[in-house]
Amino acid sequence: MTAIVETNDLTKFYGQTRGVENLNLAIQPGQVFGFLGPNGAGKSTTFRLLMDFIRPTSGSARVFGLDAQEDSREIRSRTGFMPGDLALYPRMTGNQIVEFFSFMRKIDVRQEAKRLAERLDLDLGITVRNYSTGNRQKLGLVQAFMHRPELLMLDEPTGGLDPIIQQEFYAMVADAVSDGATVFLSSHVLPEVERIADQVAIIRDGGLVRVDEVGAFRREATRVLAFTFSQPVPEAEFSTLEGVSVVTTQGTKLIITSTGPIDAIVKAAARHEVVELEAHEGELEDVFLAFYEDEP
Amino acid sequence: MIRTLTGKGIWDRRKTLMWWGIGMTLYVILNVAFFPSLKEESFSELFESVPEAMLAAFGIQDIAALSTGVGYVNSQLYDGFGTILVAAWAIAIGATTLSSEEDSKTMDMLLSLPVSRTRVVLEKWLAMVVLMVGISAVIFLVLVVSNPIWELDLTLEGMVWVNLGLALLSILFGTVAMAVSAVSGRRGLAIGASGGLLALLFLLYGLGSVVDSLESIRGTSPFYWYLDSVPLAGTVSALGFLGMAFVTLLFLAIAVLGFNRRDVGV
Repeated sequence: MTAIVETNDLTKFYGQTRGVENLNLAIQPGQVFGFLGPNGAGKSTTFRLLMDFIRPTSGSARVFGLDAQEDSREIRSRTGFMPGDLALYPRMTGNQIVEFFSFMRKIDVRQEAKRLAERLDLDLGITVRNYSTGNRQKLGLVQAFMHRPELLMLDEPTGGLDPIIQQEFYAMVADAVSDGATVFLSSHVLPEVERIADQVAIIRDGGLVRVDEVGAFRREATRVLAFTFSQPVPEAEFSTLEGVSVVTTQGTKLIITSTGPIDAIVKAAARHEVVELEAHEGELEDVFLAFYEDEP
Repeated sequence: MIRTLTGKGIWDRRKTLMWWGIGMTLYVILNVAFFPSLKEESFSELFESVPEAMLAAFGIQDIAALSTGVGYVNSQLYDGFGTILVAAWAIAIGATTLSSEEDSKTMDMLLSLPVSRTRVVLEKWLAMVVLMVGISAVIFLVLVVSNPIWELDLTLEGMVWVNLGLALLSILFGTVAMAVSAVSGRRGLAIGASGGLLALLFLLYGLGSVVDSLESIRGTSPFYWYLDSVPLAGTVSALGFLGMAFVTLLFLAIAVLGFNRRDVGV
């Protein structure tokens, strides 16, 4: 199966300043691929390279199996893009922009745009200059989705949207995916990626730190387990287990944190009579933050 | 309804066009309305004490010619600040049409559409061409109307040629500005370089007629190609006009190549 987006040692320097370096990405059809990283990590540079706004210093990129530079026009006709630094023509109304883009794309997307605008509760009759930040963002989403593209590239799409509209956006992504689209979106907001992405790439200082399924990251999240046994149990039975550290024992109560497989813990606990068990799913955020922070 | 990039380029500047139209109309009328009264006096006496080089720099080559409608209108409009003004507007459009979209980041949105960079340059250029033809047409119409009122004795043929030349010359400078901005992405450089070139070539043409050392290179100025044959008198230099068109296309090609080659919006 051909990857929808594929980069090979993609590198971009702006003079001496690094954009991205030796980036290797592969996004499969139908995936929602989350691109997570702090500001300045190279997320926007990657999108801009894929859209052919800027040219790689070295390496290459392919979208739909096509060369990102040579076949850019075809790629762009099949892609919906929302820039991180969104700017729309300030003196045009939402409708005029939809109409103009419609003609530029040579397909009439006005009905679909109207439907999307209703979904996002956006009035298309207003001049862009007079839109709030959130409404401008909505118009950015409308124009990205309105031609039902095969690939959506969304650079920080939810900034400035209120929570209800964010939910609607997640639903729009889900609908697009069920229609066969692939979604590549960046964010520095973790719960968002956790919520909608299948695959996550963490980028830092222009390079990928790790690419994995959201589930894999989740499995690594620190869980907190609090057992209450019928009688005190020796700490050592748990503290020797993989990924476990004992927080405290208070008489018959044992509280541990775990980043490893849960099975061994359950089996160890099963050797005793368990009166009560409380489990808290750890914050995925901690896992990601560990990647953001500088290595020790 | 805005359907094309060219359409949008014109629509964006519809008010500017209106103001330029009004401004140039007033400028033309204010100039030609004085002609009948000035014609009565002797221009030679009026300009007696003014050095020849100074007059030449302001587009006055031959004082005696000022007493004719052709000579007067030529010196006041086409061989003078009228042309400079129109060309300056062309430069303003050419220098900003790409770079202001880059500065305001709307270029990312535009280039996310399935449109080639070549088409972006060509359509934006075409909008500039239409605006220049538009403003030249306004000036033409004002002259046509003024002609009998202020007894200018201009021929229709002359008025057509001189305003066609005006459009060609301003498009040339607008295209130079566009090429600089397309290659460099820098609006300031585009305005500075092409504006400086405009001033330089205008002075070269004017002073070249009186300063011996400039005489030999005077022919390199597009103002020479445009005006030396006095198109307002109906005597047009086909070679000069074609030369302007050729140089324009050359710079248009540079604009297309330059904009295709570089990173946009960085």
